[in-house]
Amino acid sequence: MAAQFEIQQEVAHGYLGSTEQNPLPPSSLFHRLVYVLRHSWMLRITLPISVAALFLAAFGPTISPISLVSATSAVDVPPSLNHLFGTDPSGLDVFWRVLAAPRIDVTIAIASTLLSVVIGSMIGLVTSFFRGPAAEFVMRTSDLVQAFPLFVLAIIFVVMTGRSYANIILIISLLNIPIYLRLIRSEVLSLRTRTFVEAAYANGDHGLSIAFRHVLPNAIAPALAQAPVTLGYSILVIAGLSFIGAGVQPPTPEWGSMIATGANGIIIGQWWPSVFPGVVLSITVFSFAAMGEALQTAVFRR
Amino acid sequence: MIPLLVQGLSIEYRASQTVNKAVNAVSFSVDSGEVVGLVGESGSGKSTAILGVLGLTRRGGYITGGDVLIEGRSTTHLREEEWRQVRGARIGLITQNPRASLNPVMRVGPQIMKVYQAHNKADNSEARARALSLLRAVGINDPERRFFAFPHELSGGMAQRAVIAMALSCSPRVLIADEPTSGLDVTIRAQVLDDLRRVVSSSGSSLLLVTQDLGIVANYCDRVYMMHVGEIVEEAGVDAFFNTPAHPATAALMAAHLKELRPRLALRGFPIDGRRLPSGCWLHPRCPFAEAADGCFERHPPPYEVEPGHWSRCHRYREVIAVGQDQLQPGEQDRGFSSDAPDLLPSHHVEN
Repeated sequence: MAAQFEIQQEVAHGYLGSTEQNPLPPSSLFHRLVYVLRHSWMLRITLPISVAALFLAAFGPTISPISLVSATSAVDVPPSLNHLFGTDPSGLDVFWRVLAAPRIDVTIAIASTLLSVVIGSMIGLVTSFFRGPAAEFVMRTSDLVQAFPLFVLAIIFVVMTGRSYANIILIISLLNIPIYLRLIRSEVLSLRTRTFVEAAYANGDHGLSIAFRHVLPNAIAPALAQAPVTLGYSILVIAGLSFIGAGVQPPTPEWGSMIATGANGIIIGQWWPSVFPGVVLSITVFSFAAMGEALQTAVFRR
Repeated sequence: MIPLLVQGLSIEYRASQTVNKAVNAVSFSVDSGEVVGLVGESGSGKSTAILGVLGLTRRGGYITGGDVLIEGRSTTHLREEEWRQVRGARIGLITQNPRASLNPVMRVGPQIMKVYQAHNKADNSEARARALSLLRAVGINDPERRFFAFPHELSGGMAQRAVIAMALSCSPRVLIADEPTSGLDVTIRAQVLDDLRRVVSSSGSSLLLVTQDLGIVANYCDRVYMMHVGEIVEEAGVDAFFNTPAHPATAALMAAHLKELRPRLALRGFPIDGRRLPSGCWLHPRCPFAEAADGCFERHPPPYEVEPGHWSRCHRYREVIAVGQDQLQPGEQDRGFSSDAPDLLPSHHVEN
């Protein structure tokens, strides 16, 4: 009890930088989550930003009062009251396009993250609960995937398969699967020898049911805590692919391609078409990553 | 029909270089309505043996021989699905550490319901009613509230009762309890065991009680099997077990509780390693009775019948009994066994 209390104090005052004290150490995962949510100033900042990004993914393009894709004559206008973030070389308003971009970036990131969590967890669960040559093969394959830089691999796959949204989602999720495979595997390998698994066998339960109903619920928390981090990183990969022209194409509003569009102008002082999407992209990715970190604090420090 | 009959069960653990014979041709039976004790030092193969009774082994373990007859039916050739219908339904297992044998993220009630529904076609409300009545039967107060408790919210005794309720959910004919009270407060042990014995006898089941606690054996068991290095070395009714221990391992276990016996009966050295079994009697390197003339070093002892229903795998069982009798002077007995569970041991078991 004392040790747990110290850990909670550490959560509150160390890494998360809280100033408040809570004398009651929370016990269950849910309570730890609430505790961390309430005591972390990092989350107070990043959670609203993440929620805003999700909101814009849903409504970003529809709240824009002007057309996001039709070129105008007002090219390269610096930031002003009319155009808060200025306009780009095609005369498109940067502000509204920055707000519309999550529709593509965040949606693709969410889809690919969900896919990788689900597939990675399933494969991780089955291959580590029932071990064998096939499981070893899966693990070595995932080693192979992880041996390459993720972004380089993403470029290669996109070039090979074509740059449709579906392909980008599949490729990013494929590249993230090994992370979840490992996270689940490390949990399952220790859970499968636990007494309650043995007891479930002794009560006549069958392997698959034990794996999904007894082991998976106990193993899933770290993977769920990792998901926001992957979400942020996936946004970065999509933007990166679009920046080098392998992802989403202009004039579709998308942060990476917007940065690329404005990149030529930076040298002659037209910084706004690149810098604003870049800054917003950075803040978004950071927010998701920080949120994931805070979740992991809640999950792992027990 | 004997509810549980184990014949020559052998289990070994295989590693890349070594083979550890954890259970060697173990035979025992549990008659209906009987409470049978399985006693032995740590690592003597008790837990491995009872998992083997359920057709299960831990990692690296292989059942190499023998048969388990459950209600007269051989289980040697059961397929995995058939085994599943036996486990939990015909034989219930109460595992060692109650808190660890409950799924930490699942509420207690649904866990019991799940076991019941695995073996019976029951809808949720029926299973819930069953789980609630089980929780009440094993002596959990306020079962409606405990039903929704997570395992970490229960005390050790509560958790053990919940595990007992789970094992009882399909009214198995045989219940195996693997050190059901080892993790509990001494004050709670008697209560949990009394409740266990009450629900077992009221449901007409039999109980195989695996334990190291002689107080529990004396108070609850009808018959006792003593295990040593994966082998049953002594079988006796509970009175004979305590009054005329006929195997050095049993005598040493008594000596651990009775100070006066220790100089003559205590075993020397360390437990025998199942990977390097000695020749002859497997106890002889540690045994204070070992004599070359009696063949202790060369011949593995067969089970000798000491008296009807009392068997000992010791060439020199007469000497063991004699020394035990000699040391157990009247007046010295009441002190014994008290170190551990004073209220559990009735004095009449060691008196006559």
